[in-house]
Amino acid sequence: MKYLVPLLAVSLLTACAGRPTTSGIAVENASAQYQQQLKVNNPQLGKRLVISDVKTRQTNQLTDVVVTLSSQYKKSQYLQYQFTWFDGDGFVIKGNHSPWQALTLFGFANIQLPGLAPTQEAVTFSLAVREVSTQAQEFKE
Amino acid sequence: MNTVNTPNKPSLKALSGYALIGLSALALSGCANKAVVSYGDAQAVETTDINFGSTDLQKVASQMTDSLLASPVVGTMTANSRPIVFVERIKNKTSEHIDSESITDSISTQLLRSGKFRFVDMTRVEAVREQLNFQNDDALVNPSTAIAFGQQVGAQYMLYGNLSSIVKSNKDKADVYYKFTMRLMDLKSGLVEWADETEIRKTREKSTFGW
Repeated sequence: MKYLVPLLAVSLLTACAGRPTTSGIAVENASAQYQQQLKVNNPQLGKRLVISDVKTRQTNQLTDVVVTLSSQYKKSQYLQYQFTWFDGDGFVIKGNHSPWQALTLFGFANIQLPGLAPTQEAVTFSLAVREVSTQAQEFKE
Repeated sequence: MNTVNTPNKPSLKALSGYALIGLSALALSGCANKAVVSYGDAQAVETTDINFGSTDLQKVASQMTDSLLASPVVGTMTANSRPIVFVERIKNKTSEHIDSESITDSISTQLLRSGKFRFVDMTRVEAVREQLNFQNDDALVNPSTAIAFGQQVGAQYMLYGNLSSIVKSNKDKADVYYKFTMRLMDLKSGLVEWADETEIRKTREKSTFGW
């Protein structure tokens, strides 16, 4: 009983602060050895979601990729993903506003996320996956 | 002499102390009803309501551009030249007011940035005509620098599309389905060289928990 009131206050505080979790899992500077570039910044999400494959090829002189996401969780997951493209020197492609795209991944399902380089200069990419917050994703810090 | 040990119960005073601390912490946190201005991420998924939003616009533009650039027909078309395209318009057949020019602007910008297409802008024809009239008819302009009429190049392809929606709702749930179709027509032959469509489904349900 004596912990009830502070506990309630803390739970209210966390709910009211409303700062969404914006970390997720990512594959960075992807190439053939993608396993080395996998990053799990959100262990909770990392338990439920795996990047299981990365394939690249050339289509119309543009780098074409598919990244396979596998769910390790029985319920649907509401996610968003974003590709970022870099040139041969590692510079981000200017003016390429690759949006976060919403994705529903059903229980234990696999899905291929397609990405196409915006220009011929774009040769490597990063893919970030995170959960969709019901509130607007804002970066206040 | 035996003393009777009473259980170590918190007194009412201590409880009210905890309550006071908790409530004052609550009041000091961001829960106070005050306006806060901050910058968000323009590319983030936005779920404010069920209507056509920025995420839908970005998804449609991105998927259509990728599909067009990856198409084998477009690969052949752009192998040795940069075809000239004019964007007609997206017919908005939904019940919402949607700025369809904004969708075509995003698509044409991304296609132009890819370096595979060139565009003519039909929305600025009158402004160009006015400027050329000024250059050719006004005594202020040196005639040797005036751009003569009849030198612009004609478009080879026309890009156009439709946006339609099906909306359903009952007292607990609302569902909207958008279908965006886009086509590229060869203006010389009238053949549709490329077409694709993308779909979006958005659902709003009453949340069981929520603040």
